[in-house]
Amino acid sequence: MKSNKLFGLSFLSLASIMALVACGGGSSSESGSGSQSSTPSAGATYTYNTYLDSNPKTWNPHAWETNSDSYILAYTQMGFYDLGFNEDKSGYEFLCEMASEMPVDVTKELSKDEKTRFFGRSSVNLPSGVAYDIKLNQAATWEDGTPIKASDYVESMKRLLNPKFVNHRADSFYKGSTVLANAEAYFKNGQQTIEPAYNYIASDANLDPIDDSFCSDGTWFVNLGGNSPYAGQIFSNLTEGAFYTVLNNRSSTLSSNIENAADRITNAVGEALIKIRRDGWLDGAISYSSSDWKNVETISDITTPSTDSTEENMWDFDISMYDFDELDIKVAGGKIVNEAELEKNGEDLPDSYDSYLWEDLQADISTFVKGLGSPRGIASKENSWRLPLFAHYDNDSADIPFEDVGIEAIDDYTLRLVMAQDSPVSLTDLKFSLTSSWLVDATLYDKLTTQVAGTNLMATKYGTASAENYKSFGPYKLTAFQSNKLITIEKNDKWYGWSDGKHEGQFQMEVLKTQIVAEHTTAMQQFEKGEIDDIELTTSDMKKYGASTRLQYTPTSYTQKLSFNVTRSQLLKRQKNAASSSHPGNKTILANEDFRKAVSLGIDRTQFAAQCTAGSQGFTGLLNNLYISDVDNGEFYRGTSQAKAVYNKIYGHLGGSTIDEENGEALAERSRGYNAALAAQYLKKAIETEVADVDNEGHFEKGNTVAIEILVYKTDSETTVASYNFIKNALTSLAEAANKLLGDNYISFDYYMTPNEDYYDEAKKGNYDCIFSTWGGAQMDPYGLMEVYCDSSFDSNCEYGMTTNVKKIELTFDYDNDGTPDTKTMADWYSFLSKLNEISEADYDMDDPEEVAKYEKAKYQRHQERLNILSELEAGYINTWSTAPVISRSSASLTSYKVEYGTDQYIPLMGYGGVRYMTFTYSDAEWADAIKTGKINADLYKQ
Amino acid sequence: MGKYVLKRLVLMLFTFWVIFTICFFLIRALPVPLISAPGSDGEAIAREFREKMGYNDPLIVQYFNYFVRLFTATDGGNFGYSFQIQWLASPWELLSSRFPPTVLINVYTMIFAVPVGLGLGILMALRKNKPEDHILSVVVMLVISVPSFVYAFLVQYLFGTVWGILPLTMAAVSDPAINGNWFSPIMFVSMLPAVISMSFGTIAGFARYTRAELTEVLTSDFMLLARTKGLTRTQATLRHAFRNSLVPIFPMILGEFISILSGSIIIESIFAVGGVGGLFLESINRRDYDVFLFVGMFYVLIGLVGGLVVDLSYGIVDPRIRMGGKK
Amino acid sequence: MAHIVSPKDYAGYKSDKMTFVQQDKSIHDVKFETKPVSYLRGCWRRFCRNKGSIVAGIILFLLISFAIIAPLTTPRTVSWSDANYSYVLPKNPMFNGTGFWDGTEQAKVYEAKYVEYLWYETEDKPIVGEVQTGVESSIKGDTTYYTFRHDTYAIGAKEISVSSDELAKIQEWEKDKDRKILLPLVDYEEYVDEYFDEVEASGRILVDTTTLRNNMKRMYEQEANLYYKLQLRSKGQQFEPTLDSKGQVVPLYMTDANGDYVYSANHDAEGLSKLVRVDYNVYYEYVYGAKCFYLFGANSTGFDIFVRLASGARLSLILGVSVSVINLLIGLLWGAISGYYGGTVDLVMERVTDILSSIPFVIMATLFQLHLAKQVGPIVSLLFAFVLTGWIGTASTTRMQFYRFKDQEYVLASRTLGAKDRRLIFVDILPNALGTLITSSVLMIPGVIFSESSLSFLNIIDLTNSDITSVGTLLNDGSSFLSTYPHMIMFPAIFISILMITFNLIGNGLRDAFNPTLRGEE
Repeated sequence: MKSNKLFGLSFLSLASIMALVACGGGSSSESGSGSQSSTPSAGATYTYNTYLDSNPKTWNPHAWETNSDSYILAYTQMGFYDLGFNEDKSGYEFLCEMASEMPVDVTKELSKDEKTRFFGRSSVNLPSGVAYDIKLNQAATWEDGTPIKASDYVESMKRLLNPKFVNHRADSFYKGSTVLANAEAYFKNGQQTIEPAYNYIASDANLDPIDDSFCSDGTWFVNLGGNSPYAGQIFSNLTEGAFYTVLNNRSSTLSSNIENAADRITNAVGEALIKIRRDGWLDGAISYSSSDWKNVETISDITTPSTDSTEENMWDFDISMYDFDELDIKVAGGKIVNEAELEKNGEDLPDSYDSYLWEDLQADISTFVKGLGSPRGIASKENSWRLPLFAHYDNDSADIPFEDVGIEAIDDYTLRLVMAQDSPVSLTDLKFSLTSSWLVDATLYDKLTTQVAGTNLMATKYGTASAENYKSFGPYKLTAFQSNKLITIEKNDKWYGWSDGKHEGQFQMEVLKTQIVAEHTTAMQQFEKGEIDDIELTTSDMKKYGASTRLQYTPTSYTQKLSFNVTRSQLLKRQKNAASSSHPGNKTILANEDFRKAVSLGIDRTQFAAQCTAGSQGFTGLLNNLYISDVDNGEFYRGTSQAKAVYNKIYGHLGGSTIDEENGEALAERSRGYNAALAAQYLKKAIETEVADVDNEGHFEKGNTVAIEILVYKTDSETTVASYNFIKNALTSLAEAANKLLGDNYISFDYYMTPNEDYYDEAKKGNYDCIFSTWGGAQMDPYGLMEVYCDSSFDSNCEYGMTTNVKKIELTFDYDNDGTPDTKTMADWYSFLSKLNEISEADYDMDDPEEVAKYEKAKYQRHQERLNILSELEAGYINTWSTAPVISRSSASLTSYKVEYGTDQYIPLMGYGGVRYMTFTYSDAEWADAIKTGKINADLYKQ
Repeated sequence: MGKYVLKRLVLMLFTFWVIFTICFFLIRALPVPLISAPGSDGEAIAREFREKMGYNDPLIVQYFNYFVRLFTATDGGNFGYSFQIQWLASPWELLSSRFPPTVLINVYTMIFAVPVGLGLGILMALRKNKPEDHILSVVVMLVISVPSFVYAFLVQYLFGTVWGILPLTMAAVSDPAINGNWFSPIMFVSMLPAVISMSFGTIAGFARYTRAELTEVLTSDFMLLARTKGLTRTQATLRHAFRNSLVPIFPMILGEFISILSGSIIIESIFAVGGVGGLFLESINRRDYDVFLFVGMFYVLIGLVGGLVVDLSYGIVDPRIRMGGKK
Repeated sequence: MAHIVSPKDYAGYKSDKMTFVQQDKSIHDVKFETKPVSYLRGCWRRFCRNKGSIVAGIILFLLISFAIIAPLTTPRTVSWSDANYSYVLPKNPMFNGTGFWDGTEQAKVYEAKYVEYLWYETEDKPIVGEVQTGVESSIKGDTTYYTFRHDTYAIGAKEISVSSDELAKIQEWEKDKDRKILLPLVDYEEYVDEYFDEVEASGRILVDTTTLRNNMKRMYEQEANLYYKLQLRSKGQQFEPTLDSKGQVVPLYMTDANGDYVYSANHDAEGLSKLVRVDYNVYYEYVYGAKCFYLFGANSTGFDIFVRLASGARLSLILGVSVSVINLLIGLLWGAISGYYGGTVDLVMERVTDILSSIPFVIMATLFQLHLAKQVGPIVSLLFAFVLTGWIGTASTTRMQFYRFKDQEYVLASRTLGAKDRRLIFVDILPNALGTLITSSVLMIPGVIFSESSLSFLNIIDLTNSDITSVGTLLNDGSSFLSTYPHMIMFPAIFISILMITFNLIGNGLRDAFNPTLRGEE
């Protein structure tokens, strides 16, 4: 029901696991028949009945995972701030709830002591937005009347971040917009990680580790592809901090000994990777599991990575330096002997060679770093060779006290949040993230905490199993929790809002009864009988209730895409494995871009949305209609000219010349990327290329069946089955059309579905041909969503083999003003984009009108630049055809006549106003009477 | 007899251990599905959690650790914890909280359906090949041949929606109107749809089986003798035929009683019973390792004990059967 | 004290003086005059005498024939679907216009739907026959409703994409047959924007109308029957047709520079693909040569239930029969050995069955699916799951029968006469059990089909791939549409019921036939 809590989740995957029950609220037309008054009458009870389709396993604000888990929290908790309607109900504004006023930026007021604690140095120069003070609402209490103080928040944070709990929600305060100082380090206490050594090296000493704990086991790892801040320091304009990029981009004017050292490093690591692969050397392998390595078929290219070699991500591989003592890498005449190359050419090894040991590698790195490290004055330092390396970091002994985490109680009713030095947060973002709360009752929490037998893990039953195990502090309190059956939530008499005069006419609901009903048919009948007050509709329900005036669409920020495995070697392996299975067939053709283009063009997205979903819309982009590119001016991303051009950038150029204006972009776009005839041509082209490609093992041959396995989470949902059948039909007609073009039976499809509950994990390993992947992000941050497409840590998650740090796109946008369009990898563009902040008022004298005009102009330009990059990234990603966006997701639900929502138009971020603005047209007694007199029936919702 | 029972008990424990081991390895070999989006920090946290829980250890180590915990845990976590169904709940707690509705619904079903089923079966056997028998046989067949979820939906739709005389779902015991009383009238009425749906199968099953067994007995020689020695048809049927046909029927009743503990997953899901039936499936689907093992083993144990009782009951019901003897 | 006859006693007798006592009388207790009949032949005779079983056998034969032949009678394959025709009712063209089996139903609709139906511009109208109006009172107040016979096959217009060659062919066909496939395209994009700009300007709605615009565009996009202007209803997000002063809808047909209607538009610059709006029923006729009809109706994704039932029946029967045969063989052998020998052999064998049977079937089936289904497919792994524990029932029945019969006098007699174990097992004892066993094996077939449907309902086994289906899956599919589209479950339910009854009758017949106590009984 209350959808405005959802933006707390920055990224969510395919929502099939999450049971999202009828969110949003009711629109209505004719309300009441005159006999019912819409103002609440005294003494009447207002109960809202609803259902969830799965049982929450815990509603501990620190541990919840799914939407049904967080369900109870939405009613029984209140954040510091909340979203409310503005005056004319046309948009939202922030309301103070648990806080008494808006946050105040106190970065400048931080004491030396605080700076030392949070940033390690007292003289640090901080940007604005690092520290905020929040004044607490002094009337706020727990459900038992005990006042809530600032120290409660600090204690709760201590428990949230306690490393022994491994709390699922801990990342809320070290990832995303609010990154508390030292929170991550505190939380990761006790975990062993491999991290860039640079992070842990004091800047001024002999480049020795900060303390003994660092690299305690003395193992150093070399990783050419991994991100290291060192690289960014050496090349100030280098956005991708990989050692390999540094080695590769070195200036050619360097002395030959540095050149040679750089060559040796690259080649030695390449050789090592080959040996590790070939000889099963996996001791040093940390960042990839052994199975990942098995998936790489041809690694011999690795010493000379080409820009589009999908194997290049194997550079992201940690090799223990000590392994070089045993890997037996040969060096002759100052050059690494490329054994694979020699083997391939049938040549013999040189007569005499030396072994390249880890000391040699160390010396080479040292030489290279000294040659390049001069800008920072580290060239002369003794241990400079450590800078680009990684080390086993034992977080255990670092032992950061909780006091160093950026949260403190200044007094009973003032809370101070201190962000990490390099992650200032804007006021708006902070307020957004503080609409949800991490507050728990520490005493109860500790009482329910226990050590999990057989482990050193702590866990608590807080917010689990029973109402006694939880304390509410929102407008409602949990009064009964019967597992797997009924959740009862009632008005919290102790809530400050009933008497503070700021909540007049809000939260009219008194009791909320939520049944757990897994069977949709059952819930539907309950709704028709008036027993529950909302129902989420399925595709088939739409046929019956599509015209109802009580129908509401709730758009979501998710785009559902068909993602493909695009790695030929992996596909070939799967093809070989499949040969003996029940679905043999060719798979390598999926690596052909034209083939994927054909599939993408062969899907009629409009029909897909109509036949397989309830309320969704065919869609061809990555960022749907919901994203707001400028929160202050309410500018929707899709409404910008940049976003409007994306379609033409992808589809306009297909099939020859571009679509001209006269023909109408709009009309072309109406086909939503569906073009059966063009699809057939691309399929024909793909077939011809593949058939001719006789050198490639396992290539497509005439008459082959293409076996495409789609992994799905589960097969029991109506939508999944319908989607599957839809795509299957699309492929069948595609094959028919292509065969007609080719004049013979060239191709047929065997499209089959395999349920796999762990399918994202499988997808990451490349054990699939295609999946439906669904990403969505925070509505007010369209730029942030591109992280999942461009950041290399998300690589291979959906589109296997789609490596963003390799894929280069050219932007027509000339960001460095050298007069030519610029080319960067997608990862680089993304990281460039994320550093390209909006112009801040602070840099201009806002009292001077001239300066203001300058500011406005700069601001406009910067905003356009950001939009340009964003839209280019969107188009660029889709233009790799590794994925085919299909729909932009919405849900459809019915609401009973009992209630009215605050608005009947969907308002971004506010939805329909949620329970705060919901009003009751019928009291319980009146409603029961209406049921009894037969005024409520199934037909009611068909009108 | 006592020695035989003892022997059976020892063997039962052995069986139990074997099944435990098989199930342990089969279920632990399946990874826990990731709920968090890949690449996110949530994923990293989930993985760290698994690492700490020891899910990444070799299976044999996990097996060993299971027993270590079984005998050493002091906080009631001997049988482990649920992390997927109800955070940190002990499997026992979880199972027992889901028991009452399942047991009640099934007991009501038994009380209603078994006598009816037996009665129909006897009637059909006595009126063998008469019109009553044919009609009833066809009805029984129809009932047996359609899966229970079809009736369940039908019962729900007819009683709940069309006629509106029974509720669509089972009432919740935590509802104030019920006030925690499992035996309150509202509760009983709300269980009826589930009871009715479950009765179809039970009645039909018993009727068919009784008919088959009784028919066979009625044609045996001793029945001829009984009639010959002057017993009336009723006397002969009740004293001789029925008792003899009970030999296979009695264990069936016993088996039915035992199976009530596991509940019906389908019926429970349709009527939102929130009982034990789904727990089984849920634990296996969500890979809630400890819950799966506990609940699974609980049923195995019940089944084993039940089996033993059934076997022993043969000897009591039919003295001609001697257990354990050769030939 | 018995008198012992010794040879000496006969010494004085002469044979020629002797005569047979019954020389001239008929003898009653000597030999049967009928020929001896072998056990199996006797069984067969008794079986044939059972009329019910014979009828059942014939019906079963028909059902099997249906499973084999039905898919051959239609060009549609099991994986063929047309989602445009989802949920259509069973239709047999022979019954057109009769109101029975013609794909129509009595419908009751309200204003919004009624208006939409009323303005269909296609050949087949959804409203068949007379419309009756009525008023009903509900929580909303009094609302008008309309009742009429509704043709579920009248799906109206669809927007599709065809190649330019195809378009030419369509136009040719239109000329040949003098019928209309193509309908004018609708130009809604501009209208929607204009409309909402107006709404925004009027101040009727204060919020940004992006979402509403989207909703309206989606409506036009997904419902090609809306070729006219829509407007927002007084409240909420729904739209209704804008009616002019005459109560007519206002068409939004796309026109070219000359003001003529546009029937196709390019999808791409080259015009390879054309966007067209078609009268889908006529288009279907154009593609397939005949009007669309589904004998048993269609399901939620537009699959032909007739074809799927036949193919599902095939799979279910094969699965059922193989499970039953395998189980019978294993169970019989196992139970006979275990029951006959008893003692240690029995104990050891009982251990194995105990272990197997104590693993709950649901767990077994689930684990098999999770571990095996990927390698061998869901069907085979299901077969394994059924076989793994399925034979135990047979085995224990056999074993029990052995306990019951092995100490009976006739067995002891046979043993005294020197019969070997094998003879005792297979000739003397087993036939007693055979009746029950055969019956239960035959009944196991529908039992398997039955279990399979439950498992597919629980989604433990998964046959949603459209190439394979089973009766159970069909039942499961239909169950959630029991109240709305009962035809989806009716046919599979009827099929499985008849199947079950026939199997049962045959089972009964077999049991009587195999019952050794009935031997020789006339």
